[in-house]
Amino acid sequence: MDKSRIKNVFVLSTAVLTFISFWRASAIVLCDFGSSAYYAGGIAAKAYGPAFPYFILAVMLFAGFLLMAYIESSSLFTRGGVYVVVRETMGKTMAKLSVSALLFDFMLTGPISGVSAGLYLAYLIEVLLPYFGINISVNHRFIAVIFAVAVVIYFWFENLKGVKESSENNVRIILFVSFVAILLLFLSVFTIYKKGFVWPEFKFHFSDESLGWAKYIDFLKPVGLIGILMAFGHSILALSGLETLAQIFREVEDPKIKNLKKAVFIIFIFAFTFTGILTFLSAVIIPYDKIISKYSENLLSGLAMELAIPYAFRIGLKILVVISALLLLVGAINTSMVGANETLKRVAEDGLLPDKIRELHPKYGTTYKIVTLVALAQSIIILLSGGDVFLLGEAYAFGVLWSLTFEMLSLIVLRFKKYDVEREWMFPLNITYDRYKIPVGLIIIFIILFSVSFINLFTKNIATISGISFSIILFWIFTHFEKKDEASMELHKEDVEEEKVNITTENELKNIVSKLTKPKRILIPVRNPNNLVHLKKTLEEIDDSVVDLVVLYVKGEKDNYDKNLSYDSLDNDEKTLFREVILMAEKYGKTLTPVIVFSNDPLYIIVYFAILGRFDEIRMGVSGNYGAEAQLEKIALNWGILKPKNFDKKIMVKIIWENKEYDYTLN
Amino acid sequence: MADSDILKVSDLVSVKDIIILDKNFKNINSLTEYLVDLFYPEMEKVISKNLLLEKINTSPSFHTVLENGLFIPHMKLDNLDDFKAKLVILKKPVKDTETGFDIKLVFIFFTPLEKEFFGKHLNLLSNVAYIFKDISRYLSCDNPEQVYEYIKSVK
Repeated sequence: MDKSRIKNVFVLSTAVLTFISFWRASAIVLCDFGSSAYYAGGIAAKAYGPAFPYFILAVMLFAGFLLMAYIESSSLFTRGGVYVVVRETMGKTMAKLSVSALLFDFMLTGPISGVSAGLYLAYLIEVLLPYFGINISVNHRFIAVIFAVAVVIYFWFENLKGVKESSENNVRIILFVSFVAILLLFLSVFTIYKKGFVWPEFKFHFSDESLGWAKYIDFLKPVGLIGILMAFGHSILALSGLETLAQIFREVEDPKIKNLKKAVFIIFIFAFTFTGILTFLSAVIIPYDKIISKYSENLLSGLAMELAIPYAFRIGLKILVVISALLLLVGAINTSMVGANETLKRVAEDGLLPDKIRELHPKYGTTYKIVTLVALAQSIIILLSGGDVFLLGEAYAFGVLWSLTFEMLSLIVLRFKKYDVEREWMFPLNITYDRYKIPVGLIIIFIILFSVSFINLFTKNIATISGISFSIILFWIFTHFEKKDEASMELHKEDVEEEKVNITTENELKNIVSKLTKPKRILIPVRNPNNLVHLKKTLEEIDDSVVDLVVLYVKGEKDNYDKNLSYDSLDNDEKTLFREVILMAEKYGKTLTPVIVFSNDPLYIIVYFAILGRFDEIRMGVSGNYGAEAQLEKIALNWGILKPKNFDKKIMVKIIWENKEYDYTLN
Repeated sequence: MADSDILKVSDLVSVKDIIILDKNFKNINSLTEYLVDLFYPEMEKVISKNLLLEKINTSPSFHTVLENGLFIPHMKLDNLDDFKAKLVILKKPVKDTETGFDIKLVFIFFTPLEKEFFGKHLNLLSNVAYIFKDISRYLSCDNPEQVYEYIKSVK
């Protein structure tokens, strides 16, 4: 074979060309969403009194409906989330506002989780130290701050390496936490059986802080429906994990919506049982006054210590609870970083942040600048909080509530605006009128969300002040860079929306072949971004767990042959081509390897690579220059030229276009 | 590709279809005219010579010249009931100005237009490119019989 025809080989890499299972997706989301079990009950108990377990349970049920709404939005947008959904319906200004608010909560998720984990650890240390003959007073909040900052630094580094790597840890965490949760559940039922139980009182005791400005407003008295909404608002503490679900949807493997549904089911069952039921059982087993005086900062440790089992077992169980708290809560820091990173990426893609912020890490291909910014902001918030989880709880939930409110409103509008777009799944309770499906279910969810968000504006004044301030600053930043971007768009009108990918050089094509490990291999040459039917059909039908897909683009040598090719040196058509390839891979959740080869003879390289890599198939689109028959002739000719003696493999060539296919086996 | 699509070069050409030529050609066009002449009057019922030459001039696939000096002019023709082929070895190479390659060996063939012949057509193209990878061995042959024997011996 004439290797001189291959001038250089490049491999495009991006963090999203490998995909994760629904287990991993669930684990990532649960590490945020499920972690509220450790602090939501304590914070809610202190905020409004003994009725808290009913509201935590209700919030978890409500979250199930919100999760379902996310399935509908994901079926509309592969790269979705609040920003994209709101932008599509209500325009950029509302989208910027929503995402600014949401980011506020992402910034708080890490700190509240880290501080809560630190507090669990501090209370355990306090109990264990006397056993080692050490009698010193433990400063819980100091330990909490040190611990939380250390974990943020750890996950900052993990996220530099990419979500796939870090999600493995999430799965292990969730498995261990599930074990502890089942143990607690079983022993709680045993304790109730032994000691009997009293239903928690459905009574409100709003503290001055938790009434906020409402205490100065006559019609906002904490009774009846208003009281219920106030209590509900103080119980919504960890819904930011839901947005993470939308952000990682692009990385969920095929079949995407089916896997998303499975993930949603797992998330709901886990969160409802772990947060809802365990908080309820804590309130059944531990008297309310004791929760307030002793366990408000470590409720589940309190549950372990109040079970009807021998003291040594209680200590043992407390240790397990603390380990699980540390694991899950630190997992929440990871999730919040993943979520914030993905959200900011989406915003930056839209020109609301400087493009340089999306620059990829040369080794790991991750958006390291965004990850670093998020970690920095979370560390500062932890230090400012001084380890006070109630203060963080008071500030929490402003962003997630308002962003979810906007998202629900957008989904309702989309039912009318995009009534003709097929949804793989639709939120239930719809009435068909003319060509529209009127989303009664979504409207109910929206009304509840809006009411709670509105009431929270008055009752959670720390959240309102800090949330609005943060959102305004971020909104201003987004608007500032948007204007700059518009100015530069005027100068470069031909620029395409860019995907950020790394390009790595391989000395030879055989280095790429050595990385192909699956039983079947398909080579997909691409050239025209408007002619990717063959790639689409392939992604629709193949099972990528057993097929290695290599997408090959042969760049003409005469087109500025550059040994140090970077993504920026590709022309606009080529960037569009690769963006389309990446988006398609994301849409179908299938893994592929994009390769660029510099050569002056594309068909020669295609056959050469197919032989070298012992590919089973070559799937091509129809060439606009030759037509399918001439294309096959050239392939056949090159096969004759290149086929080595004793080469025993048959390679199927498929020329694919809409509703038609030409097959030929090279033998 | 079905087994029925396999078409060996040795099955298609016989000794009488192999020509060793010691003649000067001005360019590829005059060579082409000579090559077309080889199929006449046999192909008169299929297509007139002038019409064939006209078609050849507008067919890009007819102009297939490889780096090693192998020229494989080929075309699908209506009304043809079977493959027609000739092998011409040029003692005096002809310069192809388009590719810059010197044409030393020509394998010209015509394929029936019907769909069922297309698989064989592709297989023949592969086989021709494969068999004549090393054309020096054919160029050194003294007579068509020797060439034919050599074609048959290639596996």
